[in-house]
Amino acid sequence: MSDAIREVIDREYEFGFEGTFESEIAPKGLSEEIVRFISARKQEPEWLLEWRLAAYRHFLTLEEPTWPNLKIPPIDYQDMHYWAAPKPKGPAPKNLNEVDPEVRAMFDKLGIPLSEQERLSGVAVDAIVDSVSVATTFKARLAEAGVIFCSFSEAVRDHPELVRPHLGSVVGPRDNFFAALNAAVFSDGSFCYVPAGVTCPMELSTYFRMNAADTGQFERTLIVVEEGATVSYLEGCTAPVRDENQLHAAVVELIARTDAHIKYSTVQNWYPGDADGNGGIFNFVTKRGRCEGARSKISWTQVETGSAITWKYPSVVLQGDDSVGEFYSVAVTNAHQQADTGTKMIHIGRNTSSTIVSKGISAGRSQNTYRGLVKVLRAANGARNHTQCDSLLIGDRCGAHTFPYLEVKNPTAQVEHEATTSRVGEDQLFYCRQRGIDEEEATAMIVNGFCRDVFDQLPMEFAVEAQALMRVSLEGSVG
Amino acid sequence: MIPAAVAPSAAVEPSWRSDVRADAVRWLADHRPPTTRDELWRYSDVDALLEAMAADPADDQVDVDAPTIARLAGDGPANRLVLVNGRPIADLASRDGDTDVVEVLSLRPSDHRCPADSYRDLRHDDWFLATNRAAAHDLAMIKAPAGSALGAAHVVHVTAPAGHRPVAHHPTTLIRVEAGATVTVVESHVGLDGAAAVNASTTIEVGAGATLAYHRVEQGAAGSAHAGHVSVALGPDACLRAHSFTLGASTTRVTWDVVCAGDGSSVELDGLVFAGPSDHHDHLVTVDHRGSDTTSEQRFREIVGARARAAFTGRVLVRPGTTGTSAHQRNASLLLAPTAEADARPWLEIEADDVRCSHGATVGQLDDEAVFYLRSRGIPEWHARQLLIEGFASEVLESVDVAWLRHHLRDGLEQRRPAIEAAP
Amino acid sequence: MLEIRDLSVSIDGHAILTGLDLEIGPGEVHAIMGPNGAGKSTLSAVLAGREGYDVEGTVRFAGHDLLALEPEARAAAGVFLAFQYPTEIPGVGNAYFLRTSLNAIREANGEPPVDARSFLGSLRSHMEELEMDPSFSSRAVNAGFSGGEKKRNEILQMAMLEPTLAILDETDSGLDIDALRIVAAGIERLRSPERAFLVITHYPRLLDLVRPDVVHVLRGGRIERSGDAALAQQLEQYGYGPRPEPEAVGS
Repeated sequence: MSDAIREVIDREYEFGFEGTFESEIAPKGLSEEIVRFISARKQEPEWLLEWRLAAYRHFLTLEEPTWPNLKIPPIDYQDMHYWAAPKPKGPAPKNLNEVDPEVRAMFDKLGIPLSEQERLSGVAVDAIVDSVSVATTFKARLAEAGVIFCSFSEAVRDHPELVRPHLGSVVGPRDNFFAALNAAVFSDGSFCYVPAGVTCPMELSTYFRMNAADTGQFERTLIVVEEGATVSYLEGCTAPVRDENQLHAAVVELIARTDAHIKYSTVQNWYPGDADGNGGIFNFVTKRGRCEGARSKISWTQVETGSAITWKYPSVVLQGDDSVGEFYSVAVTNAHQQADTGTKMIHIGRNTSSTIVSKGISAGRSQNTYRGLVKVLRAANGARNHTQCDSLLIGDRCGAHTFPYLEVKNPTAQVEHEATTSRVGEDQLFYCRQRGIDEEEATAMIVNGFCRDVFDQLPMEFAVEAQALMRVSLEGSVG
Repeated sequence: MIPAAVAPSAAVEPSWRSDVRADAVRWLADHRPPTTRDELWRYSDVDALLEAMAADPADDQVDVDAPTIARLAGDGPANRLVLVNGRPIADLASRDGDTDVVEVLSLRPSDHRCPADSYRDLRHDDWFLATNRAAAHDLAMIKAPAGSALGAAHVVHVTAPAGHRPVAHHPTTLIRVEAGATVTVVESHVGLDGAAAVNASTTIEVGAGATLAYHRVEQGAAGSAHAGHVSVALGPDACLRAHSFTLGASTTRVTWDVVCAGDGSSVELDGLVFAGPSDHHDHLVTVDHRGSDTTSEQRFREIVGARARAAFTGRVLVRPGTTGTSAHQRNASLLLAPTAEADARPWLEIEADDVRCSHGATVGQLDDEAVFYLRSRGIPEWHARQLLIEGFASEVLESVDVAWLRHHLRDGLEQRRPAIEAAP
Repeated sequence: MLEIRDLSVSIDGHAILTGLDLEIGPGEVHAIMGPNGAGKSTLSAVLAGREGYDVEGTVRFAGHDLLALEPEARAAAGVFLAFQYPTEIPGVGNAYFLRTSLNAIREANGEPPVDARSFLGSLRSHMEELEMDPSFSSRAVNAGFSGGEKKRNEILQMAMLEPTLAILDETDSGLDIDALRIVAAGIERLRSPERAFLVITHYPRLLDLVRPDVVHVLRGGRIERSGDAALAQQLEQYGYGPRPEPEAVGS
């Protein structure tokens, strides 16, 4: 039985190749000079440099968090590069056709063609390699609708009036150890602005690729959606197979004004390390959204299959009355992977509601932890939360942990938490096998069914990818 | 910080007892008291507990009469032992002929018998527990001999402040149920009026195939602080049916540490917490599944009044290498006022795959629909609310098999309930 | 077609079946009746290949040594078990499940997969026959189904998979009279000269609707007596009664 089950979850990491283009890399080490170097390299205005330096100085006073249920090997922050970028072969590309063919080739191989005619024709992509954005597709078509979608660097240059007031307003530079580090050395990322009343005409997507060795990736994403506007945003990530651990410490900030809707989906498939736990990405990410206006809505969906260690809690601050926060998560850990992930829902406004659906699957010798906070403040009359948190164990050497926190300061709130932990049912397996379906297929089917509520939340393009990642083809499904 | 009351009569103590004390004192020297920054004390009113603990040790010169005990702790057929400020009062003890199988005694600090290995070997990881062991006076001891049945014992720990002086008191109970025995134990913590801090510890061993029905009742005086620690070790096929009532003191922290060590052991634990106006109660329940084919059920309910806060943390641990674990946990908090607060942490830590575990937690107020339904049947609103609060509590009360105790608890709640509803 | 010889089954040292013999030919419908705990469900579980039993004896099925096959291989060989308590599989759609099952069996028999259109067409018509709501096909397998719906789903699967041996384990239990009629009609439709049925039941009422060729009484771990359909009526009237003396055993 164990063999068949292992097959299902085990998978070769398909994206472990290394792009062949040349890179420009800053010397190893973290210092004020490096912070200045990054800022200068990006020709940033003075205010941003000051912002970075303040964050860096604060970072020096902090210590890594020890509360997660993770065993994190010591990280030498001086033994990595904080800047790496594909080396330009001439002046900056003016359009997509001028992007370095080697870089294009890598994205083709990843299945993310940087061309507006190809497979992802309905999705605008901002492609980020190591520290910089190399291409953003469909900018013109988005601009017609008034949507700004570009790299963070461009936004700082072209739209400082939109960036400056919002940068750090949801995740401040002093928020936590990794957020402070990111604020000091973040290199690029995506920026998106949807003006009032606009429904973004296509899915927006950022594709992150770590390519250079011994390099940390520290991107920042900022999405501002004005009154009555709507956007759906996707995020994907891969990295080459390497024996060393690499650090990814990103920050994502979302702001939803009155009646605005943001849907943020992630399929995280960073290199998880080999079967013995060597190598892999440390994915320490701070993601938070603010439902600022009445009736605004922020929905996080994540499928976390990669990374050696994951530490992330996409959260929603429900400020506006009647605002809605959602968190749908599938986290799969195998071999020696560790994940400590969940969400925080902070209810401040009246009649705010939140939904949390978390599905954790642990296999091998992995440790999978859900950690979540539902907090209802005194003024949040009529707040509602429902949490469903299920864990599935495959094999007897892994762990599944559930650490919810419910803090309620308003009697009119209704907060409900339900959780279960079990293994793939033998009755279910036998039932499937009696219908002629072999154990491997049956297990995949049961695991996928277990995750169904979350996959249903993903945009079509990602749902397919996510299910493929779970090693189950639902092609031709009529169900 | 080491409490004032240490080694009341160290000179006359046998070595096992003074070793326990010395161990605890050493541990206390190396550890600071908890703060709310410690994860497991996050929702406790630690400051209030510590402040109360700093009072002088409780005196041994207080008279209490039998009617007072019956009023405070209830009265039923059982072998009863009453300790006032840690000293047994022979006049208040009673024996019930029908349940004579169980041994109930008080161990003076000078007693040479070591009552239970589990008491001597208990690991310290809790400041209040260590303090109890450093400062305890008499140990109340209940022993159900192997194979005995139908035993019933009632231990009453009374805290009696002398005059207006606040006191600190460290009641200690040991329960030893030997292989195959079946016994019912009621442990009451009550207090006479006056400021007091109670720091209680109970150590329970349930032997192979034995069954213990254990009811822990906290009904201290209003304004008092109560820290309680119950640690239970269950042998193979041992069974614990337990209740935890927190109904009296204003500030409490009650810790249950249950280890299902033996294969096939099981525990069922129901709790009821009544947080009257401005009360602050915190309960931490850990069930540690170390054996295979073990089962646990936890059900806790909190009723929370104005400016009061009730917290519940339930931890279920399933250890690697075990199989056939079933563990379920439910917590429900009922908030009765705009200023009431509840915190819940239903935690699962699972390191084996052959498990069926679940937990659920809800926080809410009285159901408006239900209030309306009752009013539409002619019941005034205040009464409708009362009935619903009663209903919420009675699911726990009804599961108490000891009739006299059930009636006593019902009366106690009846007396306190008006306060909770009257408060703004 | 099915030939059971001296089948003994125990679980954790506790004997359930002790030397059971049974032979079923193509096109025949056999009913097995017996009191609670007689081992009826154990027999069906062992034939389908559920783990956890100690099994001795031989079972030949259409040229196979059935006991040597994995559960899915038995299904591919044409054995279908309608479960007494069909398992819930949350999140997995009925139609998707059934198509995966059908194609797995076809693949094992060297047949090409069915195309979506003809699969859906045949699913729809079977569902109509069984008076099932169309929304049923997109609901998760048995999840949140009533007892009757689950049983109907088993018959639907049987109709789609077209087994050569269908074992119905107390398919009538928990059905109201209308559902029983629908289920029985579903079974009757599938009767054919190539297909054999083993109907395990507690009550004779199903056997009024699905007439068996042979009725067996399973008691004390083996077939205690066998007879024609009339035996079922007899049992209804007199119950299983005290264990009869050997000379009283009927034809």
